[in-house]
Amino acid sequence: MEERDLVEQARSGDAGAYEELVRRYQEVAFRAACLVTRDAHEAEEAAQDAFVKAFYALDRFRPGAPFRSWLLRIVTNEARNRNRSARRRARLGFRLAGARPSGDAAPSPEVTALGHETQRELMDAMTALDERDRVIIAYRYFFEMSEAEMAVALDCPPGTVKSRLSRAMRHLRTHLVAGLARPEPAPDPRPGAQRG
Amino acid sequence: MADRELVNMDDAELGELLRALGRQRSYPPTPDLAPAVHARIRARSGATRRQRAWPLAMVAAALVALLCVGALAFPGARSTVAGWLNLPGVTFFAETVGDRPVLGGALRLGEPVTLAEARERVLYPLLVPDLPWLGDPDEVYLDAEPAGGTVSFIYHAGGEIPPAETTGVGLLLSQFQGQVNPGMYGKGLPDGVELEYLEINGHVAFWISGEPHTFSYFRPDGQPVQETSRLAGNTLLWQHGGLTLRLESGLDRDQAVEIAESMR
Repeated sequence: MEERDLVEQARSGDAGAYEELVRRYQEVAFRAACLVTRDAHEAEEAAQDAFVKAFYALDRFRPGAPFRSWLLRIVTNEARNRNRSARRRARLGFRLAGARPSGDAAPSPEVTALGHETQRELMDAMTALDERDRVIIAYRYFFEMSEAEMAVALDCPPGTVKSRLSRAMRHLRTHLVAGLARPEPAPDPRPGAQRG
Repeated sequence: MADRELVNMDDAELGELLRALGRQRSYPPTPDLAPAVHARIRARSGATRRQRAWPLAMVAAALVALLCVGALAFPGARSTVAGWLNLPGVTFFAETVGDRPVLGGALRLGEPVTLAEARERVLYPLLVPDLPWLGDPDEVYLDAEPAGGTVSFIYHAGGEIPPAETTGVGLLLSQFQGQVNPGMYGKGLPDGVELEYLEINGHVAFWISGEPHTFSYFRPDGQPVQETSRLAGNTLLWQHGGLTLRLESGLDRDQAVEIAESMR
């Protein structure tokens, strides 16, 4: 069923239609929450809360707007609220150590071409970024969102998306430069190196 | 040592690498959220989307009708409304905003006490915000009504707390036992006042913003009480366990929700 139809049915109170929307977007919602919380459990809670809130906020959803972007705005807000109220948390980060390659597809040529060291440097820089910069970069390159979609997700005018992305990339580069000065970290001894 | 080529790449090249990186699964496995979300939505039978989809005017009209026809004569009707809105001890009704009451001093919140005294004297575990930027309340008041007691915290304006529009106080936060003794509490919804539904602690919550408005509540014996000594600014009404809480301030919605969610 088309997303537009599902949204319309959910707006009229059809919980089943909304469940289908949840299944479609739970992965991107969870991952977006992970980007903010860097903790799998917190991300799960944030994503779940966001889906419940989004259901009750569907009246404010503009028909025809990108649902995924609208949802991600709620998800990231929810995740930020959790960050503010919970100062503890074991940092999950985005370490590639122990990360499993995608099981449903062969690695793309680009990934194959991306050396392990390059991956690590990029992920370290992403982890070191301010959360808002990290989310912007992830929206663009990890979730492959258009600038129009990003404007909805970031709740900002479309005209400012480019400049905010550019600034985030500048900050990323700053962290990459900083990485040059750091010694290579010892391998993570934990078998999984991530929670969840 | 880091890959120096990375640093020298332009945004487009770096973007391509990030795109490639994004395709590699470096996240924890995605949990299936649908069952829990579905259950939570189902559980809130008193506040379905269909009811929420009503225009505000219809909600107000329905409540006015219910309350005008039956509220004072039939206390059961009030309970029905409160249950329908899923916020014990609270309902809304439309009324005309009269002249603005006097500001300051006469908030009539009860007896000034310390936080420790308030904890000892109320018949429920007292909730307090746990936010560094908010800190402890500057003043604490205890009122015997409704049964179980009402505790009100006053925070002075300053720092991140703007002065509330009409009270001159930065923030007023009250809590009372709604379920045990469902005294009714009303909010006028005249022109210029907006009502927004939120969710806090898994329950429906209400964000009322816009023009100042009077408020009233019904005592446990069913008698309506209208408070005219102060006006509410932006108001957040929500439930926490068996308590109903009310936050009036000049804060925006997200800050108010942050306070509500920090209550421990």
